[in-house]
Amino acid sequence: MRFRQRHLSDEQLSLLLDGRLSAKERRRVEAHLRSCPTCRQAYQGLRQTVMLLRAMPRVAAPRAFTLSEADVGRRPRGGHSIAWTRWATALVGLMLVMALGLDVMTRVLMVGTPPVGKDVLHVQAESTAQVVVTLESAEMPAAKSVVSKAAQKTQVPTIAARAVAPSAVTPDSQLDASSSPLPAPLVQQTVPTPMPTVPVTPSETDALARPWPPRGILRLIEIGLAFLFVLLVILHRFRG
Amino acid sequence: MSPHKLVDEDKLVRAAKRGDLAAFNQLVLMYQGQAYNVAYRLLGDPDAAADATQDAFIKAFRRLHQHRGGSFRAWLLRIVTNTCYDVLRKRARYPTQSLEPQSDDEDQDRLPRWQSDVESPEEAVLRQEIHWAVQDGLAHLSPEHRAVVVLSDIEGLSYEEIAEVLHIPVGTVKSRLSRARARLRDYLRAHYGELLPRAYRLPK
Repeated sequence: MRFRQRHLSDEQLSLLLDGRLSAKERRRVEAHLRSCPTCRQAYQGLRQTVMLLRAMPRVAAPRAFTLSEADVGRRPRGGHSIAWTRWATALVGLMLVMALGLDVMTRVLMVGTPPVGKDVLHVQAESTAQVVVTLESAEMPAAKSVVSKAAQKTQVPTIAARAVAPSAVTPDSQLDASSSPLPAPLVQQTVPTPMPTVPVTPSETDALARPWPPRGILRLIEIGLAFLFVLLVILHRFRG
Repeated sequence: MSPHKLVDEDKLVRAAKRGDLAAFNQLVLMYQGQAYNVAYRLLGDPDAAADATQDAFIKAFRRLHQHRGGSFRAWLLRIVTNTCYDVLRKRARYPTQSLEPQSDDEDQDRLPRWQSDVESPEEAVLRQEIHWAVQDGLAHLSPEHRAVVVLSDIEGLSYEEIAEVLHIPVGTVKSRLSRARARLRDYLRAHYGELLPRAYRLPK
């Protein structure tokens, strides 16, 4: 005490209590405690507090906390769920690439298509939109893309045939193309029957009438697939 | 912990990491008592403690890939304390529950039977009051101080292991623990001054 008038810190007392002081430091602290009632009292209080804490009863766990397959987001009898998401991700990814490929292809072939052809195609687009919509309700994305492609192929000749016909009558108006009595009923007939009514061999006119399936639908499918793909990747991340 | 048990634990951890839920559940059974006790002392409420413990085990299973060697117990208790911190933060934002023990009866149930057999009714009552007082004192510490005191003096973890659980340097454990103990000492003196002298005379 002659060397050190200052009181001991709580940390020094706490470390003494836990036996975590070096031998030298411990001797010094103990010497101080012998001669300083204030520090002795502080130390006693600390020691008793720790004793009370150590005497706290163990509480029994109210139940077992073991996890079930469902708790960790697996199907019961699991193990397949990860493989399942992996396949789904691959499939959706493939479909997305196919849709994008189709998009690029139609875009490239669109270049150089005369405006008249586009107008007539616009009418046609609406009718196939209905076809695609009904297919969507079946909720089979794979089947959908296949069918829409099939539709694309079978429709091409009829479009090609009509793409030429109205162009001769009305060169540049949109309204005429859609309101002219000739193409509209034709469209109604051709949709349910996939076989072309007008036999036209696929030729250069084919290229003019290529943009199938219609842009909006294709964009919708692309966005849908991209969304699904991202969702599956996130899902897979969480489980893996 | 015996070396044999440690080897077993490593094996279980490795199996659990490969997705073996049964192996993980063996680890759950090994540590659920301690995990629940830590949660109970941090939250002061049996139901919230049970929920936090369950949450922590689910999180632990999902984050097993983040466990890179080291003490599994420390890693697990870190998830438990963090889960409890989240609960406490939510409580601070929407204060509806107190940290104090809900009723005397509940704590009474948890007394080991042998204690009530050996002790006089007066002693049992006194012991009960002391447990109450300490839990109340813990509830009045900051969550950080409470965690370090619970891990050290109730759960008996070493400074090094506490450092691992709380993700702080050992030096910080030392200073934080001494401050937390001193605060608790001062709180108990101020609020339970007449109870303590009798408490210290209780047979161990």
